[in-house]
Amino acid sequence: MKEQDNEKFKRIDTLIDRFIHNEMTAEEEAQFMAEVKADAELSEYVRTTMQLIKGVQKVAQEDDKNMVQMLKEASPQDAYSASGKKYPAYRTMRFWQSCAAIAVAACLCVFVINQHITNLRINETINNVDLPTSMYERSVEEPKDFTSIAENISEGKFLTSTIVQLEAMYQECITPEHTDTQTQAVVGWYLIKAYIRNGQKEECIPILEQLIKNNERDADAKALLKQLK
Amino acid sequence: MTINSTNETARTLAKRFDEIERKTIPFLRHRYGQQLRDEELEDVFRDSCIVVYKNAKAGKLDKMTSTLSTYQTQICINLCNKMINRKKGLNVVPLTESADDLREERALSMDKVSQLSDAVSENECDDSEAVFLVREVLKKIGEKCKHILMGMYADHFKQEVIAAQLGYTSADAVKATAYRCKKRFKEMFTSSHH
Repeated sequence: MKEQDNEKFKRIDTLIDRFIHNEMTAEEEAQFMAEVKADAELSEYVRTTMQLIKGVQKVAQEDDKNMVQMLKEASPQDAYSASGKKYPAYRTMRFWQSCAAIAVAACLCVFVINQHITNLRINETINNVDLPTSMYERSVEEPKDFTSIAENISEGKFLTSTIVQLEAMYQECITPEHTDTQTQAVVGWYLIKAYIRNGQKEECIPILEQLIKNNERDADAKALLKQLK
Repeated sequence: MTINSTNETARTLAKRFDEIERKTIPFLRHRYGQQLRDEELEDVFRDSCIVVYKNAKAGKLDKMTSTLSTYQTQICINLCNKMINRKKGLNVVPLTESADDLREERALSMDKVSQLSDAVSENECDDSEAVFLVREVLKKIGEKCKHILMGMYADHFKQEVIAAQLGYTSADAVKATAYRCKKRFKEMFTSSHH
């Protein structure tokens, strides 16, 4: 009996499906309607099915309408929080915070560009200083050879040991008994180049001041001192 | 006060998005599982929530021709296609707002539903009461049945789509379950009604 009922309702389900999808001929429709009206159980089944279809659509419409209204009223933070996405930090900034962030970024940019330009000028100045690769000192017969020092500085190799070597030579040059200012200038400039190549700009200043003291017309020393300061 | 109401809104929205996600992710996995990982699908869904939010704000959802669930699924499909194209290094993204490939090709005629409804109506309860009862029954009928009935009659999803959403292997399984769900609905609705 139950099996028969199942078959009956399955058949009616198919007919309902065809009817509501407008797939029946007028004759089939009339036959279907007559069958439904003649059987109270079928009528009840069809009625409940129609209430299901209309009810489900109405429920979905109401839920969607409420959801859309809620989305319209929701803040971006609510929407991001509901979606599980992280709300972008910059969006929570107030106007003055955004302005401050932009100002800081602009200052940083100006600072970086300025530093870059200064470095370019410093490099240009020291590249302009032409230094001999060997020279005679008045009191010594052997010439001082700067070939390997010049190579190390230009290639940026063994800078620490080159600086130690040049510092020793420079200390020797500036002793009171040593009066050869030309040697002082050559060693001093090599040391300055090595310091700059090694990023030790501060150490160049006393050497440049000494060079200017020895020769007030040393334009390169004056220009570099100005740039470093 | 504002903070509480904001949290409440977020919670309610999250609950609704969760409901949609539970059926959308399995469907996307079924369709794009070969090309996209689960985390990517979840990202796609989260992005789709923001798209829905922005479109609602812009008034684009005021006159929808489909349910929100169908609409969001279609957005997810578009986002998945976009992601796959980006992975392949393609710039051309064929975006579509249409939900046609998800929905039944046979259009449900509401005129016919009304005609049949009028023919068997006994004026026992008005529409709003019936809707209230349907809502109550849907709450109790179980997640799977609710999903199938909403999918068939509200979203008008193809049975293949519902099968993918539920992780079924075929549309026939949906058909068989739908029959059982309708039967259960009838029993629950009749007992609530009386």
